[in-house]
Amino acid sequence: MSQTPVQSPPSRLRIAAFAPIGEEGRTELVESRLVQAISVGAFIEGERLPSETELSHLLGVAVVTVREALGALRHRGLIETRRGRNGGSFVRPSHGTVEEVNARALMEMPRVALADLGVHYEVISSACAEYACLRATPEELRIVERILRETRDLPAQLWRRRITEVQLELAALSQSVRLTNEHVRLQTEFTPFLALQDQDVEARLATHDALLAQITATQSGDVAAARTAVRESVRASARWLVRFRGELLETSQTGDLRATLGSRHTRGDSGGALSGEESA
Amino acid sequence: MSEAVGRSLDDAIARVDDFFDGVFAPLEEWLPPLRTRVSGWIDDESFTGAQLAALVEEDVTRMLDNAERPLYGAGYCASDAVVTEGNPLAWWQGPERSLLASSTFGPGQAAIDLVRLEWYRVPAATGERHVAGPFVDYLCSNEITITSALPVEVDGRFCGVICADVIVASLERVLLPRVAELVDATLVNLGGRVVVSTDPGYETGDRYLGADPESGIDALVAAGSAPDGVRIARSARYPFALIGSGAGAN
Repeated sequence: MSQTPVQSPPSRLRIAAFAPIGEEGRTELVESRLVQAISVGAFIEGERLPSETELSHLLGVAVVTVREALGALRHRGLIETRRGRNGGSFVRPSHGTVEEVNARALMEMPRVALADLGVHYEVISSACAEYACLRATPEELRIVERILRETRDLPAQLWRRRITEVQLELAALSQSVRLTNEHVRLQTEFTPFLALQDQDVEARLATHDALLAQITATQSGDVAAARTAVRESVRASARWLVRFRGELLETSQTGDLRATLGSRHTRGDSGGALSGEESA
Repeated sequence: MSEAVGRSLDDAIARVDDFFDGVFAPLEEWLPPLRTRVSGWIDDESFTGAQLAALVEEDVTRMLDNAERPLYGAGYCASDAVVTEGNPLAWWQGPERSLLASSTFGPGQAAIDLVRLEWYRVPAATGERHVAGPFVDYLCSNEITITSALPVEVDGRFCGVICADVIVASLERVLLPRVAELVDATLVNLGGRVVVSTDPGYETGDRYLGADPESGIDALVAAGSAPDGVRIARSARYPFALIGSGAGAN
């Protein structure tokens, strides 16, 4: 087994991304599904998307619909198309593009909807955590814990992908198909926002440590502690996002979004101080 | 606990064994010709997941079509000795026998992903067949599943596993009527996780009360019995046991 961190996403997210769309499939629907897949990190920068034919099979829509959707993505600068034997559509190898798409989505989302997404995610994750306490085996938990521990010092983007994987795995340990499916759906929706935190080292470590605490609690079958770890962590993230959204809206009056986001990478913080402390 | 209940427990676990014998039979039949073919692929550096899928599709769909057990899906998951590029999992499932999305694994993802999965990890480590689950299979069936796996070895090299999936929903139909004559019989895996039960107090995925989280039901099985008039019949060949509680004796 290779010891190098592998730059790749949780498989389950891809399966969700390619669940058949069916007859109501419009170009916009294919487009938003692909944007979501890219922004959730289901595809890495520079990676080739499935071919038009394969996408049309997977999504259950006509090739021409896929072609139009890819055209729209190209126009938005999210993918680039190369011709020739090794050609195809590739995710634009620039983290900035994806981050900008996610930041815009955050700005456009009403605050009340953002908060409610946080509540929904928190409730489903906590429920999964409770059932995992009752049902997961030590061996299963050891594997998740190992994946998590190997993740801590990875660069932000790789770290986020691994974390998403860990979150999905923990949900599946509930042994509930319904909860796992619901979790995948929410994870796909929430992760692009959560990833905006990744430039904030403090926020990143807080997420990481909360997951470790959740696993430890699950290992000892402590339902209350597992639920608490999930709740506090998701709420902290939701507060962070609300604050960050506010900052983005403020700077959008005056400046350029890309520059604002870019400055975070050099400053190494978010501008929004994370409140790691929990008001009891 | 009456002799009668004990006997019917033994009968019922024998039926469980018979069921899984029937799951493994087509895999065992497929293994020798597959190994011959795999030996020709091993040294081909450029052998891709797409080629693998094309080459084994006929074998797998035939196996699914002729199966005498309710197999939900089946396929071959190659190790990196065989497939270094693309998706190593050639898998067909569901009523349509559809190929699992070839884009499931990203580049270089397989090695890390596979090691997480019990049905791959255990045969890779032991060289022995394994039955994994029940677990939420969010990679393939997206159902609560039991995966039966057989390692593929060529000249002592581990070349992956061939597997067949049975979803618990269909297992229930096969096994529950047979244990229904017992009062409160629960089929568990060796980790103490409930597969199916006639006891309304237990659902699939639950941990059987008294099973140790770390050693599962080993301690109970070793004793051959458990407190409260509970009797255990362990499978001869598979990681399962049937636990009957003795209301029937009274």
